Formats: sequence, C-alpha cells, structure tokens
Amino acid sequence: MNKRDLEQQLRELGSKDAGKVPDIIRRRQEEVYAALETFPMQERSHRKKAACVVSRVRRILLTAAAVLIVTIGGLLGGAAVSPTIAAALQSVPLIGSLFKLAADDLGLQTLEERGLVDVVEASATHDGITLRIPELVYDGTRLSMVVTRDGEKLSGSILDQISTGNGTKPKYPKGAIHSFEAQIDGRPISRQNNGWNMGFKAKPTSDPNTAIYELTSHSVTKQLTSELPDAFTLTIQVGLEGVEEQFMLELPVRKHQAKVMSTIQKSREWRGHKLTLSEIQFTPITTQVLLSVVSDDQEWQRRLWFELWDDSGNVLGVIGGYGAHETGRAGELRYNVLFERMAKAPSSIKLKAFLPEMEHSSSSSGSFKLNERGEVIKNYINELEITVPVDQAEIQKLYEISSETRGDDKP
Amino acid sequence: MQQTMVQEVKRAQQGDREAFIQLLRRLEPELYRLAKSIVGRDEDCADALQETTLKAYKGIAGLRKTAYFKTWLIRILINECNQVLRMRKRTVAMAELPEQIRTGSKEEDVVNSRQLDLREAVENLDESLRLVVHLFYYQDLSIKHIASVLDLSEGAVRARLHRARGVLAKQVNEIGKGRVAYE
Repeated sequence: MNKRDLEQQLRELGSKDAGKVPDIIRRRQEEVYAALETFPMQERSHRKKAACVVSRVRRILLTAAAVLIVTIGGLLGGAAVSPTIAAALQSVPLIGSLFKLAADDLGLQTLEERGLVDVVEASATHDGITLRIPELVYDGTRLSMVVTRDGEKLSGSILDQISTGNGTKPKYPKGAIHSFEAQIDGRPISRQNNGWNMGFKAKPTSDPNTAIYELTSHSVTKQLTSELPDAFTLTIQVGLEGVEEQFMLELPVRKHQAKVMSTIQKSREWRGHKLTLSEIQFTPITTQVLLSVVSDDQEWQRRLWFELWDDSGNVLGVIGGYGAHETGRAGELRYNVLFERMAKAPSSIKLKAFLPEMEHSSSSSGSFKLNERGEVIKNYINELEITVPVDQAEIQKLYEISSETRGDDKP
Repeated sequence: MQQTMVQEVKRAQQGDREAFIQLLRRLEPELYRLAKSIVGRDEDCADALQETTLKAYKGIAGLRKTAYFKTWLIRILINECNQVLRMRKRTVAMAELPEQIRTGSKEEDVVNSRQLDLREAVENLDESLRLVVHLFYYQDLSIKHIASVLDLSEGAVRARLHRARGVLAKQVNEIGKGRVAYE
C-alpha cells in the first residue's frame, strides 16, 4: 500500500464511525448536561464566580449524591448527633455493639439486640494506632460499618478536617481519616474505575474515635442489590493522617434477605408542581423511598425536601439520599432516599413535603435558617402530602426478624 | 473550525448554556473515539468525558482564542484519560467484564476487511503514535494544533506521523499477504 492509499483509507476510517456513541456515553453525558442546567452559567465578566458554581456542580455530580447533596447533607448535618442522645450515650459506658452510637437511626441502634449485626472484627495496626472495623450490616439498601481507632496522643475526632478554603484540599489533624477506598471482590468503588452506581458516606458519632461508614446507591433507578452480589469480600484501605502506611482491612459481607416492597405510584399536584411517591421498601433496618418532583421552577424544585411520618406521628430520621435529573426527563428530579426503620410496623405512612427556610431567602443553597431551638424552619406544603396504606402484618413479621429467623441463614 | 462552531463558542462564553451543550453534543462522537483509543473501556471513557465536560464548562469563559476550542477540549480530554490510566495503575488487578458487543445492521457488518485490518493496526500502534494518528486523521487537527495539544514541536509531530504511517503500511501489507496465503 502506498502512502496516498494509506492516508485516504485512514481518513475514511476516521469518518466511518464518526457518529457512533454507545448508550452508556450518551446517558452519562445527558446526566452532566442536565446537571449543568440546574446552575446558572456565568458570563465572561463573572468568570471567577462561574468557577465557584461549577466546582459545586462537579462535586455534586461526581463525588456524591447528585444535585441535592447540599440540602441533604445540611439536613443530616444538623441531625447527626442530637445533644440528648450524645449526652445519654456519654453518661453510660458503652457495652456491646458500637452501632448503638448511630444517631437518628433506630435500625442500626437495635441491630445487636435483634441479632442482625455481622461481627467481622477486622483490624490493622501501624505506628501504635489500631484501626478496627468490628461489625457491619448489609440489608440490600445500604451497607453500614463501624470504623473505630485506638491509640495514644490522638486528639479531635476520627473524621476531623480543617477547611483551608478556596477549594483547596482540607488539612487533617493527626489520626484523622484522610482517605477511604474500597474494593468489592477486587473491583474498586472509585469514580474513575467503577461501573458501580454507589458510594460511601462517613457519619460522625458521639464517640470521637468512632465513625459509621455507609455504602448506598447513587442511582435513582438501580437498587444496591442489582449491582452487588449477595455475598462478597469488601476490602477497605484507610489512610490516617500522620501514619505513612495504609490500613488494609478485608471484610466478608453477606446480604440479609428479608424485605417488604410496596409499589405505590401516588401523586399530588400543587400550583403546577407535582410530587410522586413511586415506591417504598421496608427492611428490618431501613425504609427506602423512591419519589420524584416535577416542576418548571428548578430553584423551587431543588429546595423542596421531605419527611416520612409513621401512623403514630413519629418522624423518621434521614439516613441519606441521592437525587438526579434523568436523561429525557426534563423538569423531573428523582430521588432515592433512605430513612431509618420505624419503631413498630405502621398501617400507613405519610410523605410530607416542605421548603426549609434559608438564611438568605433568595438562595437555594447555603445555610438553613434555624429557630431559637436550633432547628431548621420548615414550611410544609399540605397540598403535597401523600398518605398511603402499607401491609402492616408483613412489616411486623419483618421487624420481628432476628438472627434465628432471618432468611439468609436458611439453607 | 467551522464558523457556526466559533459562534457557538462565543455564545457559550457569554453564558449561553444551551450553546455549550450543543457544542459538546456535536463533538461527543469524536471525543469518545479519542478517549476509547486511550483508555479502552467505555465506562472509563464515560468518566473522562464527564470530567472533560465539567472542566470545559468551568473554563470556557476564560478561553481566549475561540478558534482553538476543539484543540483545547481535546487537551482536557487527553489529560482526563491519562488521569484514568494513572488511577487504574494504582488499583489491584481485577477481572474484566466483557463489554457488550454492539450488533450493527447488515450493512454495517459488511465492512471492508482491509479497513478492519487498518483499524486494528492503528489500535495496535504505540500510544505516542496512535494518538497522533487519531488527532490528525480522525479528529482532523492540523499539525500545529496537535503540537499544541501534546506539547510537542511541529517537527516532532511530523516525525511521529511519518513513523506511524511506516508501521501501518508494513503491518497492513503483512496481514494482507497472510490472508492471501491462508485462503
């Protein structure tokens, strides 16, 4: 083949597949475009401001719960450890499961008494600091694990970090976790290498040496169970500030089978905004809700948040959530939100929508305005309230599950 | 760069998000092919493209020469792909899942076998040569722009292209001969 032939063929080759893009690329690109649409694009003259907005888009889209992580995080942050629980826990020496430290999370707090906790007792020691993951639980909606450290001359909390501002990386005090990576059967759950739609989130507890790390779905359509095998090996690599070597821990994980699913599809409309409750899933530990908000007003849509109430008027603690705009569904924001389990099986549950008041009323992100008791001020929208009956008997059975009766122990 | 693209870049720089999205949508196939040639797996291509989109969104207002938009975008993409490769090196070897095989139409299936050989030969080139071939023949970038993207002199780009053509011609001829002999 001479040079001219070769050049011609190379150019033909270049144009031949020019229009083909696999579905995965199209889908992922549409996700990015949709996320861009929720933020104002700044003009040349406002370049500095634009960079700030985009870094938030990026953080939202690529590292954690999309679109509404700011709101979800803010609401969680306030509720992470209530002073009452913290005081109660500090006054009583803790015996048994460290999951009891999980604030606003009845499912985790009562794991041990119902025999649902998996004791793994993995640990590693470097430079006089021992990092342990004593126990974990995976119920199909989330994988929660206790991460605790023990060593001398440690100050502050295991999750402490000092923000240095201006988008630079935070600094960490000695002994604080600065990196946390995980692999499932050898496949990393990192953004660059995954195929997984999931991610870890760390939550503080009232014990400064203990945190709870939780793996949840980062998808509004896919359940964790559709991506993870029923049993697998989880490898965790943790970096602690001031310790050169990484702490490597291997954990056997198995799913607790039992769950009750209610498919609901109930909607309410108000002033052109539509809220749909699509699905509720109950496990002995978690209550998972899939819902969506359709609105032309994206600022309003992003501010709207939810509570789940049982039939006795108790509000369930929020464990975490993921929200995203989906390809081809302009104006629709879908959510996958995890709440704690209920104290007893309800006959119905209620989804309440509210707009939290912001410190700067015109802003859809930033700090929430608090009342004199330090609580977020919520403006409920009664017209969007959805009450649905649920299968009380089945949920009751589920809540009574203990290690003797749970499905996954049966041959 | 086409006049319409220059106008879209200008609109995007003035805050027109739709113009930015349109630009990116149109360039997706080319960007995908380039990413695919560097990182291989579609999942990784998707990551690299997403990051590139976000970085471009962040940086477009600061782009001084609108005519360099595509070159600039490709440069971001190559950096992101390299980042993916660096991350991959740091991870433990793992079982690869086979990617879904694309089933095309019958017309698509009847592909000129010689082009298949050539395509394979291009993908088998060393990365430094492969990238230059992609940018020059598939992305239609000028030598000057490729030099800018890869931080090379124009002479070095020409030399790589020359070497790549030599390797390709040799390989394709050998494959061709082999097939004739085998058949």
